Amino acid sequence: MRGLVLTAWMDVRNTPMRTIAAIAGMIAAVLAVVVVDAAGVLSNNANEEYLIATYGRPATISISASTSSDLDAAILLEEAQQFQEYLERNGVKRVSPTVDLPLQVVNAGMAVPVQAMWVNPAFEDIGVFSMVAGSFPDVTADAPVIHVVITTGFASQVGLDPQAAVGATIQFIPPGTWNTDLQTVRLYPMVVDGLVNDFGPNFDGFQLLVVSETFPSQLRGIMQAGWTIQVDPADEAFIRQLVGAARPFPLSNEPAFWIFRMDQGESLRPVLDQQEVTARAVQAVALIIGGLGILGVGLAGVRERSQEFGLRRALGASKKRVFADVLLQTLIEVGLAAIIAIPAAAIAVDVFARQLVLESLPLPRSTALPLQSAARGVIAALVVGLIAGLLPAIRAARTSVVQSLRG
Amino acid sequence: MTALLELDGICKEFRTPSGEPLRILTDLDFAVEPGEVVSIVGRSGQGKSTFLNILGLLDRPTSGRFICAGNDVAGHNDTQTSRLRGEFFGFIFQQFYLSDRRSALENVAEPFLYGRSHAIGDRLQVAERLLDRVGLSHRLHAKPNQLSGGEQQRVAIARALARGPRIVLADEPTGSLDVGTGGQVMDLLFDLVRTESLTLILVTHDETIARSADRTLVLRDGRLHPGGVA
Repeated sequence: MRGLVLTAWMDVRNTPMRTIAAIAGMIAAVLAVVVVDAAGVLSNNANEEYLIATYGRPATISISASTSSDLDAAILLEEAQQFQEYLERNGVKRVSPTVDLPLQVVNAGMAVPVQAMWVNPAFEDIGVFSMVAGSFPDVTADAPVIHVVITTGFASQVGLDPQAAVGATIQFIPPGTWNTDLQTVRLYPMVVDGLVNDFGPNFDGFQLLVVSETFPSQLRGIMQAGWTIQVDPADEAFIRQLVGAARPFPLSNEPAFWIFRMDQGESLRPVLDQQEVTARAVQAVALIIGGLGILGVGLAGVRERSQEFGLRRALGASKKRVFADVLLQTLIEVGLAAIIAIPAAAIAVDVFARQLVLESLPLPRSTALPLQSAARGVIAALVVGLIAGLLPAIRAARTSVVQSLRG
Repeated sequence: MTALLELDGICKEFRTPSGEPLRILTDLDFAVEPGEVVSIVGRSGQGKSTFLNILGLLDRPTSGRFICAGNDVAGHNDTQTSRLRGEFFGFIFQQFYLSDRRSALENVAEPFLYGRSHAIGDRLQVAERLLDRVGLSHRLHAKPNQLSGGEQQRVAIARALARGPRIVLADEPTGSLDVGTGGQVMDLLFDLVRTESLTLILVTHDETIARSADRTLVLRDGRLHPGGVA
């Protein structure tokens, strides 16, 4: 073994020009592999850090279900309750049912549509938003008046002074009511308990949250239910499996469930996945080019060095030994390529971090070359070196001693 | 005395480009004893180098029995044959075959790289001692292209002796040297093999060199014949 390593090292050391020719392409290939890999790792790190900073742990997941429109809302709610119990039986503790509400509120004698949603008080801990004024409603099932949280924008839209909106009463027309004649339709009051600037990116566009322990009887007529839950991101796959295994609603034989992460992770995941696919393609091409360089120089070297291999055989080297000499020489060369490329990649990653991380994300805390990217670069180089070195090594081992030493 | 090498009924055939068999060695018998110096002479194309290649385990005979130090080498695989070749034989070639990229010292030490690991640590000291014995202690770090032909062949002789072989095989060792230098190189070689009690089998066209051997054999018509020069 010692003789093998010494021979391979001397071959590398004694042929500097050949070594440079062999490793030049591989340096570029390892550089590309490491930098592209680091771009993906840094983007993922940036995304994770952003998610933690913005949404905290755990992640917010939304499960939506809809049933056919002729199903009675009471049945839907009952089935929805069963589904919630199913989630809770399976260990999902932080659940808030949600129901989209096509409400209309009265403003200056006009019925104005509002994008509203019913949630229960558990939602306060699941949704990510900050109260500007007032507080999140803490209401009981028997509360005669509906309590809501609204956005400052919506307050202005319905003529409320945001500074004085908390405690104000708004009149609304319940969902499913086709009569919008304010003279004849029955109006219900809702009291503003809290004010927010917005409901956060998870609930972008919603202007009003109705908050109560159970679904208010005044709001019957809806057809779509959902659940917002908080889980550890690591449990995301489990939740998907759990929901996938849920039986359909018994009466409707529906619904289909939609599951998605409501935080930025969900929206960025396809971009990051695409980045990874692109990265793998770039890495593969770079490695193939680097490998072909190694292969070409290796084959040319074997042809030029046939006399040298013949002499080695005469001096006692077996075919296996000559094979190992050439293969190890190639591995040392790619190792040298990695040794040169990785510090260069570390500098490039640090300098060009902003260009490498997805533009929509802030930079991660550390823009140092991720260790796993460096390790992947080294491993990829060695694997390519091993493959590209095989053919020259086989040819060298097959060198005819008699032919190569013929005077 | 037991023969160091024993060849019995050796044949060697090649295929010509047209596919016809070409027999170079025919039912050849040969034996050599420890410490013997044998010269092989013969006209060009008679198969002297082929014979030497078979002797040195660089080539295999088409048929026949080859006993090396009491072992029939026919059943040896490549690894066993290579080990035996490295330990038992030292080669000296007409063209020296020194590595241009290595110093004289590294060239002489090279055979140790293909042998057992325990000898590798001392390889440069042994090589230095051998270069001293061939009169090149002042040229240890010279590259082959910085050495004269005679000096290069002396480096090759030192390399052939590096691993303490029992037999030295020399194929036209003076073929690339002028007469004077060739004589000096051969004097050195004879002196070394006799001092070390080595067996030397050399192929040569030089009558003077051939006559210096204990025994001269003529290769003719695929067989070895005792006697003078061809």
